[in-house]
Amino acid sequence: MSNETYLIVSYLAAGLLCFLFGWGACVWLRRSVNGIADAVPQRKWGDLLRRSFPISLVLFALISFLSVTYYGGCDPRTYEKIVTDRDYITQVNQQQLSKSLDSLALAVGIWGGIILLGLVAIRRAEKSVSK
Amino acid sequence: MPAYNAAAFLFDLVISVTVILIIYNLLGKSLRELLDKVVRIPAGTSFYMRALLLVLFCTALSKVVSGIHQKPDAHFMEYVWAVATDISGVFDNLILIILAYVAVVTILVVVLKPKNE
Repeated sequence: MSNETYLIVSYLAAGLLCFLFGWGACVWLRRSVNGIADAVPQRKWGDLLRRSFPISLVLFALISFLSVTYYGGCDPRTYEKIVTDRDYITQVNQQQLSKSLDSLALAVGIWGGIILLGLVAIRRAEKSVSK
Repeated sequence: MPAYNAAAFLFDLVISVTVILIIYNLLGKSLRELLDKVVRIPAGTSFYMRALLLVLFCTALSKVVSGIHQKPDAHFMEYVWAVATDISGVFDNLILIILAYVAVVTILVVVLKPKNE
């Protein structure tokens, strides 16, 4: 495999893996999010939660992957230098996966807050009905 | 990735996953009971339990996946130090996640006010 092909294949593989991270997280949590979305008092709000959940997780994972640059920060590299150094390409791929996982954790944390607000709204609606 | 770095990476991975599973087992049962009592919606309990496991894995693996990059002529103890540095990063992340999670659960308890037994 030529260096250029290696760069392309590894980039696409890392991108696919990041997408699968986001999609996997979404599948792992989707049923419980849908359960809460069904229980929130406003139906439109429930629809919004149900639809935006998978989009946000996949986007979070992909944005972090895309934000990693091959050109280097403090130590800028030319394209020729990048292509010839396979160790460097592997390191950048690892960095892409690492940032993607970090973002996914952040996204789930943010959704934890949103679900908390949803639960508060459900409880308030239950109380107002019981009164 | 050379074999010696791959071996160190695998060792790193096994330790991290073991630590996560131990933490989850230690917290899981009482946390589920608390959430059942506070949230009262099975989907809510399920979300927070699954989210905890997912976030623990993501934050730990994000450190592990960065890999170990020792030169071929590195000594055994240099690999040990590299793994130790990685594990230290994993522990840092896990502590922060657990503290944040406890904060969220505390807010849930305060806001949703479960009835006392």
